[in-house]
Amino acid sequence: MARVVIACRVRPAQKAEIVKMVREGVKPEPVTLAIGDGANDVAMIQEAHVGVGVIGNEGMQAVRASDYSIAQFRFLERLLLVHGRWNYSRICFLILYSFYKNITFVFTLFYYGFYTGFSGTTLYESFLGAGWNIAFTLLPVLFYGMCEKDIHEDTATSNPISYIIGQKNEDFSISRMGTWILTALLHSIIIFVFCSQTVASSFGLDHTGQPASLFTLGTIVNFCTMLTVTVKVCFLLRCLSSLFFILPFLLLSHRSPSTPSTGPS
Amino acid sequence: MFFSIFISILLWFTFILAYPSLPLTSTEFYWIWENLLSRAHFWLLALLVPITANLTDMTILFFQKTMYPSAVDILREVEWLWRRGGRRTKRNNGKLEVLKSHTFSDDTLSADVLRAVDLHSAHKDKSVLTSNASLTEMVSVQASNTLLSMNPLSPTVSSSSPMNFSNDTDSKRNSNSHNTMTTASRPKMTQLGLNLEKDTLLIERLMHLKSILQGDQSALRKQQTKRQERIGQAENIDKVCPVSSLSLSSWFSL
Repeated sequence: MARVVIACRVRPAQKAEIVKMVREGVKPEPVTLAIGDGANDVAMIQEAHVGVGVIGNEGMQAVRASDYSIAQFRFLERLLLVHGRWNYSRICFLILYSFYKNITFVFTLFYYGFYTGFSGTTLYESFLGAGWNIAFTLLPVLFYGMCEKDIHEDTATSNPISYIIGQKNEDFSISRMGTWILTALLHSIIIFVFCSQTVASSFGLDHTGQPASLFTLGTIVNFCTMLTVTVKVCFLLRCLSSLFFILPFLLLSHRSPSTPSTGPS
Repeated sequence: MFFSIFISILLWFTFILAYPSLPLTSTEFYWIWENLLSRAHFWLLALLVPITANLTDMTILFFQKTMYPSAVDILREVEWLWRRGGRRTKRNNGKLEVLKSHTFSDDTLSADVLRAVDLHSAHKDKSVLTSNASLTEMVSVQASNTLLSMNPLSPTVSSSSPMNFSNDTDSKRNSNSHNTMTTASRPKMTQLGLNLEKDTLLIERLMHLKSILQGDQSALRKQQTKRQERIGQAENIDKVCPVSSLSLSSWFSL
């Protein structure tokens, strides 16, 4: 199979057909990228998976149609090898982690079902469950998704082998998903067994004479789950930059940037 | 990150203190924190459970990254070694200089690995190299390539600022493939004083990476687990790689 095809003096529709041919003809189906700077590249840019527009002398047509726009063609290397692969690893982590934390959360509820004969009694107070994704476990993975840099940008550009992971889609494979689910099951078992056994065996009456109630167990399980899940992000974080400390304050003082002046000069 | 965890915990405690105090809440949840926070069990569990749960899968992850690292794992490890080696200089404004010589790209990989294997076999073969001092010398000679390609004053290499990116990578590739080295740069290398153990680890990792690229996983695992078989693996890679001019004798001739 040819690795390079050069076509000249082609119509915009023919450019798009070349991309379509690669998309449909090559097995396994690759992720295609089209880059162009003029209005005649718009069809090609829209046909490819990823369209990149170059801001050039030929106007803004390609930029408007593209997913990403860069100022010069040579920035494509940085866009792909640095920002592309950072973004890929971040998003893969974010998705898989979201599955993980919700599976952990739900399976502790599921184990409690064995004690109640699956009557549908919830272990947690309803607002603890409602706030799980929107408040209690939101922030760590949010910061991870914004700031994580697994390898330095110089390493990434001088070692293109690190980009192969994205091409093979290794960060979001079935086995990776299975690993995360197994981790979630393991964590939920550890959390539930530890908490329920402690409450069942050694929680007597407290100083006001009240026994441990349903929500006593539930709140403890919820708190332990939250700690486990958030601490795990901390362990898997591969870059600890000052941004993690500055970013909350940056967000508070954020102003919308003025629109950059673009176009031919 | 720690800040965000702190905020998460704070949010949880705010909720658990505020919400059950409202008169609207159910009787079971009402004033629950009084029952909860006064018990030592609660605090002990909060300490014990996250540690236990994370320790299990972190142990698995540790062994996985040690035994069967991916390419990115190796890159991060080497990067970490360079960072620990104090590669932050004032010349490049404290920016990290990573792996300018040890690029793992397709064209330069075989040369790098050959060099690594040469060094490795020299390390094992006591008849070739008897004293540790000469081996250290040789490792520093190897490191000189790094120094040379990082040197902005060198004629073949342009300065490594992020702005002139495309020019920079082109010259990097050229300097890597030819492996030019002058005798004038030798005094510098010995001053570099790289740790020998770090370089042997790097060499092992390079060999590992080579076999990942060739899909030769089975031979690799044997080599990883058994320390004695490493010399055999070196010979194996020698057979696989094409013979290049970068043999052991060329190191001494320089």
